Amino acid sequence: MAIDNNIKNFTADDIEKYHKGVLSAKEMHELEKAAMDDPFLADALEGYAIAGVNVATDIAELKERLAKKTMPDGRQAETAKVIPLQTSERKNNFRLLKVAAMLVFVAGAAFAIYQFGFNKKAESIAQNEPVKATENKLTDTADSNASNTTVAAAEKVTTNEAVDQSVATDQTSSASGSGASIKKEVAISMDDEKAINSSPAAVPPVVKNNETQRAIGNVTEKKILGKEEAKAGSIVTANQEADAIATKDKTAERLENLESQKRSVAANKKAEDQNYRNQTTNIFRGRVTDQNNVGVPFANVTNLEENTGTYTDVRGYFNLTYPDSILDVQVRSIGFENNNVQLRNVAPTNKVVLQDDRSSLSEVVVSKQKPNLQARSNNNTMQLEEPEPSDGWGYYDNYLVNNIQLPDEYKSKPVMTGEVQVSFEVNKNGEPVNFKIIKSLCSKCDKEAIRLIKDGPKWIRKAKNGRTTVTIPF
Amino acid sequence: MSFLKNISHNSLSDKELVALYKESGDMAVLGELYQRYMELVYGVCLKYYKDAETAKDSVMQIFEELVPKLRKHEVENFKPWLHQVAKNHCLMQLRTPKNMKTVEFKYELVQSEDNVHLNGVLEKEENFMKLEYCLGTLTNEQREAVKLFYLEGKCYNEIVEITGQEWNQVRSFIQNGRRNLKLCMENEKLGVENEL
Repeated sequence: MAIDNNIKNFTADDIEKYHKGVLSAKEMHELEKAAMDDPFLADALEGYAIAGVNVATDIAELKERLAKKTMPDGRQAETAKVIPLQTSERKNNFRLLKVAAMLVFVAGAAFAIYQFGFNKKAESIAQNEPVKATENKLTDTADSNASNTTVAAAEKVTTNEAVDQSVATDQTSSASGSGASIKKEVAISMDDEKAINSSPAAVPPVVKNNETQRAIGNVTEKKILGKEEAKAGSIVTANQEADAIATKDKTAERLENLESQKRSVAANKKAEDQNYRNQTTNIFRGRVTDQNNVGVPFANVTNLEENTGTYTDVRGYFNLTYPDSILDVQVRSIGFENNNVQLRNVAPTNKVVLQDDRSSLSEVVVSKQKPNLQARSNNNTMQLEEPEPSDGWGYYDNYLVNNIQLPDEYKSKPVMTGEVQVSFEVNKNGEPVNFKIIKSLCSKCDKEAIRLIKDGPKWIRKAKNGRTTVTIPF
Repeated sequence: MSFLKNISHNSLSDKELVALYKESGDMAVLGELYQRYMELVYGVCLKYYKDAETAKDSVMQIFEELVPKLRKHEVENFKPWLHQVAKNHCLMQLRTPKNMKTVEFKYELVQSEDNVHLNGVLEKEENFMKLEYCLGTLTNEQREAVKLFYLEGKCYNEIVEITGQEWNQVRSFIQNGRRNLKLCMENEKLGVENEL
């Protein structure tokens, strides 16, 4: 009995024995059981029961005949066909396919890269066009986290000296450049740039926020850039710290300069709003304080000519830019009398002192001005997960009141008639995103509300998806 | 391929031999394969022709048939396929009018061929419960025959002696009993699953 796949194959011999009755009961049972499962065996079992069968000789004879048949002879030749193996063909086909696929892939990749690079160039060129000769719109500078958004306009600085010197002080790269490195560079270039028209910030602003530092850094860098290409328009905003540093690095080389400009352009969509000019743009630095020399946070500083402006940081410092060397602004803040002053770009710090406003010191008025602070102080549980302004709710309310730009219809109504409530989340950069109008007043009001928040001071995020609601009184 | 003729293919499985034959068309390969089952084929032919000489001739004829057929057809399992080829051949031969006889068709004597997989069914513990139940559903003869055959390992002859039934009857009892058990077990399984 041969064993094939653990199943005993019973031979004719076994079957013969079975029928002759020479097998033991157990063996018979085994054969029968196998026959149960194997119809082939069962048939054969039945067949061999036929009388007159001499199994041994018959089988031997059959084997002989079979052997004859399978011997090489003419017969075999005609029945045995030679069929070409297809495997090699198949392999060949696959190989060809593989090669073709690879070529296509490489071509596609090269094309993509080319396109990508080309697009960047095109984009920046396209960007540079519209950025010509528009007025400096400072308040519109988007995404400005820094309290000093004016930075943006400071691209066009002329000074050759500045460039040479700053090239010398050029730092090497790393996008990880922090406020520290910028500061250092600022300090160095500050010292060297004595002949510059633009006012060097001799007093490095000591601010809590990094934004201002960054802004200053950017200002310097932009000066450098301005010499080279005078196309910028791009650059801008303190947002792109990495970009700023990158641009700083490559002042020496025009091409790389272009590249970095492109990068910042690409990164910042609102670059188009930024002005650039071929003439000088001057920086005006200042500080707004009260009568006791305490800084006034988030006071509004507006260039009345152009209706552009900025707001002071929490310590009262601000920057503005303007082509001329003197600039008339109006400074106002809740609780103070408005002050119209003339700023000079040569002054290291233009000091603006605000006088208290006697008329609006009543409790009622004050509380109405700080709806957000009020809301938070009453309900402590709200504060756990929601983001909060970097400098606190109290000052934030001030900011809102000071810097709101009432839509035209509203200006005619002296009485505050309503409020807009906006909810939003804060991204990891401290910027408000995902705005939702919770309570609407009018569509222009809503838009102004969102603009206010967007352009406003930065936020601190407490929880990843934390959402907060800000009330803006109109 | 000539050098392969002298190499014994004993170690290859049926499947491998079939594949090899399909590829090469080598008669020796086919011969090797056929040899494994030739005795069974002879037995089958014996069953149908009831004559040794005719059966022997038939065995060779069937081999001839295999030469093109195995080349052409997709054969997953050679053994049952060969069985079928042999049967068909024999039946075709027997269809000559000379051989037409009317034989009473006894259902219980027809061997069922579908119970090959029963081995696996009886393995699990839970099946034993069902088995107990299903055995109860059989007729007495079937149950007895099945029990004697499977549980006590008796051969047909013994069972014949024990039960007093005829040999063929015993065989059919076992066959049918087995099939009924299988059906019952499957139904039970379905029933339980439906309840869940």
